[in-house]
Amino acid sequence: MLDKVKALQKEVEAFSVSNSNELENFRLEFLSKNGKIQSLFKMMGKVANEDKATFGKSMNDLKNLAQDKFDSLQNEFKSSTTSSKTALDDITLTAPLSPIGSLHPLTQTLEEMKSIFYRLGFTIAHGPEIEDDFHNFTALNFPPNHPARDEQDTFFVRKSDNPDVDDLVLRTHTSPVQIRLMENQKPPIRAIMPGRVYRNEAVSPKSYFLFHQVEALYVDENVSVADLKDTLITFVKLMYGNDVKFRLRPGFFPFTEPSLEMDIWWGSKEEGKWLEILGSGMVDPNVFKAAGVDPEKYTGFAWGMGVERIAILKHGIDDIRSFYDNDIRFLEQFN
Amino acid sequence: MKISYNWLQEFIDLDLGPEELADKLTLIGLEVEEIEEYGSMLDGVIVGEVLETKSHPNADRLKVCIVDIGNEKVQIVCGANNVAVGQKVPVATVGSTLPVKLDDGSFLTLRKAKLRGEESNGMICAEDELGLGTDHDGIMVLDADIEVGTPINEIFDLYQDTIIEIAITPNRPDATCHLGVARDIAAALNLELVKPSVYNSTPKSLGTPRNPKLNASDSSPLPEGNSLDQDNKKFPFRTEGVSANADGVVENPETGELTKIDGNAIYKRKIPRLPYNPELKERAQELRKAENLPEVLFWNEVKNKQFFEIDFDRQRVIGSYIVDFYVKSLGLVIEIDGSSHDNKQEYDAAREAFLKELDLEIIRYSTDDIKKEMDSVLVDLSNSIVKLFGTPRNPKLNASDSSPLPEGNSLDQDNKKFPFTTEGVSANADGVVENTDYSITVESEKCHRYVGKLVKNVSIEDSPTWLQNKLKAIGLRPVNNVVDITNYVMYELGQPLHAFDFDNLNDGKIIVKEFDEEIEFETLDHIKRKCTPGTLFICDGKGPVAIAGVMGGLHSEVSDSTTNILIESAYFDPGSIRKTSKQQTLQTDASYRFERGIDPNIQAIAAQRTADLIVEVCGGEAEDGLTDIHPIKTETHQLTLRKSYTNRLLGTNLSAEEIVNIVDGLELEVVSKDNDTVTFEIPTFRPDLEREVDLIEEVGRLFDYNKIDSKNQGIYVSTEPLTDWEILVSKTRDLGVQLGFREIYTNSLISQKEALNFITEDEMIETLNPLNKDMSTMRPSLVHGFLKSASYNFNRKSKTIRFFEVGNVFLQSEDATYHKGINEQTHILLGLSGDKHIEHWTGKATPFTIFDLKSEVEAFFTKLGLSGNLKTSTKDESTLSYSYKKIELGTVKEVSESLKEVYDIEQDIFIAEFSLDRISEALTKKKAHSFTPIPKFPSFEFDFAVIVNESISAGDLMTSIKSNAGNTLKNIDIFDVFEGDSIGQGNKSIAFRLNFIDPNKTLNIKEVEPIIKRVVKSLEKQFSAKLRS
Repeated sequence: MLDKVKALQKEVEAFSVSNSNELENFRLEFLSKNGKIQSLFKMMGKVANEDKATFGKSMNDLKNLAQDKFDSLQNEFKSSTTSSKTALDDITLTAPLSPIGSLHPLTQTLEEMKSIFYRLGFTIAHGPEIEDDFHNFTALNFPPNHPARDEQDTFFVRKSDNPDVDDLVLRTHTSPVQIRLMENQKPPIRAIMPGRVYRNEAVSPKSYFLFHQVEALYVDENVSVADLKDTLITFVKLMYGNDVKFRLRPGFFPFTEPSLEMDIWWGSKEEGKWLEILGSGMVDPNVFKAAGVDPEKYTGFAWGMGVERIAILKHGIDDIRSFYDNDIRFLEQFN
Repeated sequence: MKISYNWLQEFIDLDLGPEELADKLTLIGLEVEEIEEYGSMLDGVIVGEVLETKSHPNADRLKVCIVDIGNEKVQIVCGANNVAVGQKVPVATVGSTLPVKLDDGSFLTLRKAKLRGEESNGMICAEDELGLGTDHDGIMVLDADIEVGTPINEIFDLYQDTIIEIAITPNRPDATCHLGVARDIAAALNLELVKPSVYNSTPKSLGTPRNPKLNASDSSPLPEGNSLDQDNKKFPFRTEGVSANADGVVENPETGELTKIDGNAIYKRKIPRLPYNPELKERAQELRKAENLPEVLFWNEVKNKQFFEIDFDRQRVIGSYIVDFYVKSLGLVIEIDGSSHDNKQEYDAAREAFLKELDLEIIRYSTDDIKKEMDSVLVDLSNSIVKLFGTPRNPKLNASDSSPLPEGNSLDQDNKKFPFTTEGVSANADGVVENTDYSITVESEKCHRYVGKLVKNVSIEDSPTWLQNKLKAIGLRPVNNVVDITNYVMYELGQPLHAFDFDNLNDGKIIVKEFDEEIEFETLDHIKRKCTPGTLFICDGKGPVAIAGVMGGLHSEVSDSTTNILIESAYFDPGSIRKTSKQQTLQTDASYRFERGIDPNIQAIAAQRTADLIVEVCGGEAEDGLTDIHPIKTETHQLTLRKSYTNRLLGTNLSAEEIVNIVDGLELEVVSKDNDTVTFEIPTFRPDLEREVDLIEEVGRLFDYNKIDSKNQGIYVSTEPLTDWEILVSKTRDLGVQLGFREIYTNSLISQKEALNFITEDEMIETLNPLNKDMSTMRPSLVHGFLKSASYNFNRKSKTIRFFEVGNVFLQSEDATYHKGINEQTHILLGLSGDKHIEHWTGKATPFTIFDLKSEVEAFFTKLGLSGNLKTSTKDESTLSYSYKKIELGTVKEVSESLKEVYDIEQDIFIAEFSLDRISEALTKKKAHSFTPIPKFPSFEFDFAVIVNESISAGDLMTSIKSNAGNTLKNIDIFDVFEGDSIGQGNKSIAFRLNFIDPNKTLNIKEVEPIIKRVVKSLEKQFSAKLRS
């Protein structure tokens, strides 16, 4: 009986199939209800009891062999059948576009700066874009005749002859938020203040009448230039890499004394140049007084930088106005 | 401000090169913006002779020349038309650098090259390529007699300098001049600062009164050795200025010893003002350019004071004649007689007589002598000079000139009552007031000090080369010798000066005053200016002659015919000058300095210095002393610095001694000092040093911030959480991105007309001084910016707009946020326009609908956790309002046709705009989120449709369904909307799918059916709805 199984196995193996019609013949011949394998199974009763196990196993093997052959041939024919496929099944056709969201490059730069400041233990604070003279100028130690207070430099929203009514301006820097923070919170204060600021400047590729700044403020009992240096250096290393080359030099701002500016070396060793990236300094005692902080007890540092400037450097953008045109071809470069 | 490296060297002995100096300047707070080479010594440029020229085989315009350059003959390709055989030409040899700037900012360096296949070893130069003029029409052709191989810098008077442009911060008015910059460098590098001295001065009136150190240096005449050293450096103000003998006695510089020849002293002569025909000035300049060879040869022997330190001028105009060479300090004319003079015997006789009449000495040489016997000529010249000037002459002029400036010639100013005047007075050494030719009256408090000094009988000419070079190097255009000297002293000492043509000052009067009415005045630049009341003027007896501190007037300008000069050296109130300068939109070198605040105590020194230089350069006689009206005096003050506070603020550990050493050189006099404090006397040229911190800044910057030790790495840990607001703003932006929108930044200043599309005029906030009328009004909404950006992109062929923006908007409102009457909020806008799906093989182009935006908005609020209690209501046909527990959050809407037209957009536009301030408020009312277990039992879905009148909104129907369905209703949606005759005209059918869940059991139709009945019944009642079978 086992011989019959072996013979049938050979028959299965030898059956030649080259198309789906022949495959159907193969199925009818071996795998159908009345096919040769089923017929042989029916012989089981005639097998001696002691041989039944062996016979059953070899029959199963045979059945699997035939089934596998059928399955693999069927798959082969299915995938090779072109007649059932249409032009739309061409997987090289283009896919419809999915909408892609993106942050504006200025937000991206700001987020990068924020994440660094968070690592340095700074929180974040906000203030209004329409600001009063006190917060924007007076409290920041701008003398009454300072050029920044001139209409040629600052947008005014309200001007009053009544000394009790403060003029309103579009804030020219984010520094007024420092004052608001110190008015409302006792030191220690360690916060950054990002936001939109305005200057009455003609529009050109290099300047725009509004831009964005990030201000940093740290006030505590013994904050020194050394601490400022520490923070500045850590910041530029995190922003521009550990090997960034930098220098500190004296600067001038009404609200800090001493004032320092920081330059980083931009470009290659030979072709590069020093670029100013931020202004900083120790909070002027007059600023502390205006905000109700005791300058003998507390010292502090502040620094500010332009978001546009840093984004321009980072991406090599040649026209500041492109930030506000919102051309999709510009925006989609900053996914 | 442009600073000359050469000029600085006059005050300090610098070991640093220009680049290193620039780095140092930046590090002490004088930020260098640019370093530029000025002029060139033209090393490697020599005289060559063109031996042959032939046409270039490959280029019509070029010629191939063989040029003899002395030690070799080289081939040079030349493009000039005028090149010809036999010419003597300047040749830039290979390796030499010319003052020709290339695109990258570097200068042209000659290399061996092949030009169109022909080798070229150098360049035959045009005038402009050598920096000798502006001519570029052809190569420069030199005198045929000059020897081949002669370096060009032996033929021409060349000047080279490095110009360092520094940005002066507003707190450093002291650094707006070379002396001030030199002082800072001296302090930083521990160098000695040598100040220019004025010879006609006394310490008490010129020094800073209470600063003994300053007085000492100002009053002590220069030691002899020093003065001689300086001579070699061509310091014009010292060579003929002060010199002192061993006893410190000042000699009259105009009649003292000029030099020594072979041990014989040569004495100066004071020659009275020489007559001058200004029409000859140009001619003299031409002659100087076109000198013949003998003159060039002689000049090469005597120029730059190489002949016994004697200063020769060439082609000098005297009366109506032009003499070949002239030594002013001796009154000596040297004429080189060649053929040009031979035919003019009569002319020369008249000329000789004229010069003799002026008491000038004349020495003549022939051109042949010069060419062949130069050595003998020079020996003869030195012998003649010893003979003529070996004994002092002009004794009568010696006595009066060296008398020092009288003290206290300013009037008593204790009771400050304007006007202050010196009606025709000035004081001599004894304090005796004498009449002078002019009077000065100060009628305004805006003038703190006015010093006048008269110089008579000057000759207005072009400035000597050294002066022109110095001014040109720092970017100033030479005008004439007097004007140039005023500029020179301003750039030297920082004091703006003005020179009036004294004869054009009516009544010899100077009155400093302001007017109550507007004044029209024509300034030097030929502009008639309207000056507002309160503008400070300098007036003469008739009216205004200058806008004080800003610009002079045409009428009293120094001209070629000017002979008498009144020098103005004043201190004007910085605020007043700044205001006038702004009003006139006119910033001059003078106003720039006045508005920053110059040294209020330098006026007399500066006037004297100017007079010294004018007398030296332009001849003439200065009045003895000067007139000094000083109604408002600025005294020095003292400042105390605590060591402890200094170290605390800087993070340093400096001793009091170290602090004193660091600021040494700034001329801050130590008044007292102990272990913890130092008290300094602050000089008046540092008005910025008002407080202790200002001094600490000086310590910091001179110590160098880069040297302050910092080791904590800026690490700090904060337990302060981020504010809810910051978290919301950040999350909002993230959501915009997650929903597939691109963030935009739009302008927050828009036009009034644009703003009126959104709000009324009453709600508008406008800037009082807009850049232009398109940017006058604060944006009341983010919609304008979105529409503009959409339009911009549609115009550039974009099909799909998906933008969001987070930004502040502004309204005039009683509901004030920060400032009374002003409501400033942060909004988020989500906007869609154009094609949701662009035309594609997967389907036709489909435009966005409002439901696309609603879907994004629902996702947005779901992510914020506000979807649960979110309510919408219809504001109008195309506007849906969103609210959360009665807080209005904002709207979703379709933009109207009329607004689309304004922005020229054809596509439908859908905009959601919400207030983040309101969302923030809503979030505070939100219950804390807690986990709801996943339902154990399946939900039950039930569909039904109702027919209602078309005027009834689905939203109203759903509100009714929700309120009647009970709490097992979990979700409701609409799966079909139908209109058609089959359900009757004016009707519509809406099919709802309701989803019920009971947490405790599986719902079946039996439990849901009563709910549906209740719902339908109420719909029938409220909306006359009919259940559709």
